[in-house]
Amino acid sequence: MRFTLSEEQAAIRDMAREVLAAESTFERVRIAGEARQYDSELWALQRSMGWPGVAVSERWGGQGLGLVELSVISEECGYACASTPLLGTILAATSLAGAASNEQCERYLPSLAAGEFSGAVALMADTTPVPDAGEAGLIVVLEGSGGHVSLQPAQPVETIDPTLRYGRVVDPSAGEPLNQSSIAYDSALVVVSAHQLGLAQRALDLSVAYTSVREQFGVPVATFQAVSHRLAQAHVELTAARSLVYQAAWAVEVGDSESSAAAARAKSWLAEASRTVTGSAIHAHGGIGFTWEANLHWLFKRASMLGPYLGSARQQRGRLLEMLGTARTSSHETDHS
Amino acid sequence: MGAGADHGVGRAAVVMDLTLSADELAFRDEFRAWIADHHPGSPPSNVEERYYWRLEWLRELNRGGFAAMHWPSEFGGRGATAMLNAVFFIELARAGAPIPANHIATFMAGPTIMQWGTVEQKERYLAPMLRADNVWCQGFSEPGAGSDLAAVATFAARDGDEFVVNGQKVWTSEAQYAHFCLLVTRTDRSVAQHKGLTYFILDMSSPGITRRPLRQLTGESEFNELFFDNVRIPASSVVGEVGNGWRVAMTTLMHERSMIGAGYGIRLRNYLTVVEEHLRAHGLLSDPVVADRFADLEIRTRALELSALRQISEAQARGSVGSEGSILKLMWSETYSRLAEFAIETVGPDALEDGSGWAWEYLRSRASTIEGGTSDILRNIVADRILGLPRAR
Ligand SMILES: Cc1cc2nc3c(=O)[nH]c(=O)nc-3n(C[C@H](O)[C@H](O)[C@H](O)COP(=O)(O)OP(=O)(O)OC[C@H]3O[C@@H](n4cnc5c(N)ncnc54)[C@H](O)[C@@H]3O)c2cc1C
Repeated sequence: MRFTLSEEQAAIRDMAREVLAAESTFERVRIAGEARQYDSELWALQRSMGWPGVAVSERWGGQGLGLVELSVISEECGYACASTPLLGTILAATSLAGAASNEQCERYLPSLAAGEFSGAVALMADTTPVPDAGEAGLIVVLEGSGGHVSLQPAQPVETIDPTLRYGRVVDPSAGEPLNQSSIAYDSALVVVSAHQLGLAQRALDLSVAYTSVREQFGVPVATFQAVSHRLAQAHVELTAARSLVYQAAWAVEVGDSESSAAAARAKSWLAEASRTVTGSAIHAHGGIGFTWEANLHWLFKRASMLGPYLGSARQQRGRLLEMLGTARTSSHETDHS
Repeated sequence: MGAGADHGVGRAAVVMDLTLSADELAFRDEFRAWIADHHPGSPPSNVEERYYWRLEWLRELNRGGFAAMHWPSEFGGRGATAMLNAVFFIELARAGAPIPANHIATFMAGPTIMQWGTVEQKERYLAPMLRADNVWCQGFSEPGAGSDLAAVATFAARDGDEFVVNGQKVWTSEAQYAHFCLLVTRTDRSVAQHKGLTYFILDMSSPGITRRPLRQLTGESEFNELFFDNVRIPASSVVGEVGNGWRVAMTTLMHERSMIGAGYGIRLRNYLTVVEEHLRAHGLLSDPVVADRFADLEIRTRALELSALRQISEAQARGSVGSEGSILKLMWSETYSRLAEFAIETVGPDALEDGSGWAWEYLRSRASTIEGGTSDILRNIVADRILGLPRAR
């Protein structure tokens, strides 16, 4: 067993971290957020690096990498709070790869992989605002027994997170039907969880840096345990988060029998941890943390928006329990047979 | 793309892979078959009998060649990777077999002596640990030195080629059975606290030692008080040089926390399963609040298992054990305590009747945030050594 990123995967992470540190500064995120427009320069760069198609098969013009690599990219985009439609686009591409027919893949995946149009993924009968649906060219609607893909425009929704263009699907059952597939949904959960992990990790790193230099009572505030223990606890929670996200990425990718449960666990954990840790970061910065300029709010707002998206923590726990129950019954059945 | 058919293209040989390797599978099968033939049965209820039962289990494991997976073969171990050691714990848990007794020897004293001990010490002490011919305890904590281990006051005064020890230890687990004690003493009061410490191997049959079992809140006695009245220790029993006791003690503690994290962390699923079976058998999961809390605990338990495996992988790739054991120990104690509280609440009034297994777990879990370094101290370690925050005092 080897539960670490491979050298190649770590190299992808380092490269993405470096590129985004330069090209998705908080200054750029703020400009995009204030204008309520994507950072088109960054999107062009991401397209030129092939990110929308990282996990799309080479046959459809992608790079043919797996869900672990895609999660690495998604995490780094969360870390940088990048303001581009990449999240929705990779979600749509991954979902289609899981649920579309060959013919549908051929029709849609090359354009998604090239970022010629962006995508978004929604759930049937769910009114949660969908990230990147506001301007998406292609919408995938997933539901238990299959779903639909359509080129219909979504109804834009202005949310507390202006760095992504959210929307609601107008007619979820419009468009072409997709095959039944749990892989599509599981992969989407993993990609969103990885993004949330990145948001939270950034918030923690910023808090560590700030509280180490901000002085009160003549000492760095991080020397107070109320501060340092909060950050230590956040680190423990993100350690758990990282284990859950990357195990889920691996499990879904290889089709492990635990994959759906793993994806539900990851999403449940991150829905809560991402909001808690980004929220704690605001607190750890004091008054500055509550300002527009401190930039922590971008992380907190996106974490808050993604929490309920594709099923809240509570809903994921409900799903998990059902799966555990089923696994239990079927293992009893095999035991008896 | 599908379920990964296209994903494997052009990968390097060393990829993330959460399935067991061929070696790990072979070991798992071998050990699983072995346990099936040698299972020690269910534990005696008396704490002392339970200890000796677990000690006998260590002997049995040793006869099978499984007592010290992680020790190099030159010392009688299997020279196994940390991951194989994890497989060992997973299989023990799966079979409902206990973690063998004398873990202070096999997981703490052994690795410490391997790192810091003299050739003679290695030859003399290591092999008998695995045969359970000698049993070990850990004499670190004192009434005035718990979290603040560097404040140890038990004094060892040099006298020729011996040291004369006076003072007191407390909370010394399994000292009532022990032949040897890992003893941290002060040997120099004139230097900074943690520079004046020396680490010894103390022969518990030496004259001048008084052992007094302490009754714990479970009603049982695992830990003890130890009193030293002019106890003589030969200088050849110093581990890692006079004045170097702090660093040697840190080695022991690091191994202790990794062991708790991996060994007990992986095992927590057994308890979760017992709770789940009870809930299902009594239809309690139909209550959505109970169901939600249970699912949350399931996720915490899985996150702990996975984090243990991930840290083992990372330590293996790096080639050393680090402070990350503290994170696992924190996760374990927190999840264990929550699970025990949840069980008491959901099982109902019978759970708290004297002698109930639920009550025992509930009470025992109270120790988990204290033993092996309190959660507060571990958060200090995460803050200082892992996050690199400026040090608190
Ligand atoms: C079941 C059990 C078995 C044990 N077995 C052994 C053994 O075999 N050998 C051995 O040597 N010891 C053993 N111990 C002792 C254990 O290591 C100590 O109890 C522990 O380190 C805490 O020390 P203390 O009891 O003196 O508490 P204290 O250090 O007095 O702590 C009291 C409280 O203050 C908090 N506190 C202390 N310092 C700080 C700080 N700097 N920042 C924040 N909070 C702080 C603690 O977290 C705790 O809540 C055992 C303990 C238990 C419960």
